[in-house]
Amino acid sequence: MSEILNNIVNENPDAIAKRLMQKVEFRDGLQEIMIGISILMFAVWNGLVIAFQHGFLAHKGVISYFMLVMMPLPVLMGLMIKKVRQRFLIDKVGYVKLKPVNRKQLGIRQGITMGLAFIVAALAMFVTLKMVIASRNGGGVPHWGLFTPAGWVFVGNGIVGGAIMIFRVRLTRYLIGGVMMVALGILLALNGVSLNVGITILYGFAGLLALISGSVVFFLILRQPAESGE
Amino acid sequence: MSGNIQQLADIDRIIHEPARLMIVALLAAVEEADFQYLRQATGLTQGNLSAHLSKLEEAGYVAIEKTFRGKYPLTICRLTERGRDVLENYRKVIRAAL
Repeated sequence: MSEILNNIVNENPDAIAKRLMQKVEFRDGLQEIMIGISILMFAVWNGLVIAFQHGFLAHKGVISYFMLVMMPLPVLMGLMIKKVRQRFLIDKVGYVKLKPVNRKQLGIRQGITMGLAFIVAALAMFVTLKMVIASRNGGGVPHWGLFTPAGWVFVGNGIVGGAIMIFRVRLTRYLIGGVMMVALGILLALNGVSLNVGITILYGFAGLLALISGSVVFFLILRQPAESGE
Repeated sequence: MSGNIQQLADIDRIIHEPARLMIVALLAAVEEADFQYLRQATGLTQGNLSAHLSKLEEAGYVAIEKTFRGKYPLTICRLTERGRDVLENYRKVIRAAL
C-alpha cells in the first residue's frame, strides 16, 4: 500500500502502469507457464538439431518443427491464457483490462529484441565456424582467454538470462533462479561441452524453472476459495 | 515556496485519503478493473473498498458498472476524465509543495 502511495507523487503514471501490468501478467502463473513452455520448446528444438545432425529428412523435420510448433506458439499460448483466465480464474484473481499497448514503443522493443537475437545468432555462427575450422586444422578447440568460444556463449547467455530474471521479471523467486542461471553458464563453460548441448542444458534449465514456478503459483491460486465479485 | 505550501490547503480531500488515492492510482494505470482485482491489489476489505468506491463515484471520479460474466457478478470500475484530471492536479500540487 505504502509503495503505491510513495510512487504516485514521484513517478510517471506510465511507469506505475508498466509495473502494474507486469504484476498483473505474473499474478496467476499462466504467463510464466507460457514462457517456460516456449523456452523448453526452444531447448527441445536445439536438442533435435543435435540428435539429427545428419540427413536431409532429419534437417527438414527440425525446420518443420520450428515452423509448425515454435512460430505459432506465442499466439496460441496467448489465446489459451485469455480463455483460461476468463473461464477459471476471474473469481479468484479478478478482472482487469490493461491500457492499450503503445504501438511505437512496442515496435521499438520488438526491433531491439530482433536485433539482439540477430547478434546472438551471428555470434553463435561465428563461434561454430571458428571451432569447425580449428578442429579441421587439427589444432583442437581454441581458447579465448579463460574459456573456449562456446564457453563464452554459455557465460554470455547465462549472464543475460540471469540479468533478465533478476532485473526484468523482478520477482523474489527469480533472484535465486537468476544467480543459478549465471552459475550454470559458467559451469558449462568450464566443462567444455559442445555449443548445442550447452545451449540445450542452459535453456532447458531456464524453461523448467519458469514452468515449475508458474505451475506452483497457478495451483496455489486454484486452491484459493472463490470470492464474490461484490 | 510558501505559495506552493499554501496550495496544500486547497487539495482535494476526497482523493487525499490514502485508500482512495490508492484506488485512483490503480485505476489510472489500467483501462478498467473489477472489484475483486481492486480488493487484491489494494489489500482493503470488501466493506472498506465498497465504501471508498461509493465516495469516488459520488464525486464523479470513478464510473462503476455492474454486470455479469457468465454467472460471476462483475463490478467494473474505471477512472473518469474528471478523476484523471484530479489525480494529475493532486500530483502536481504535492510535488510542488514537497
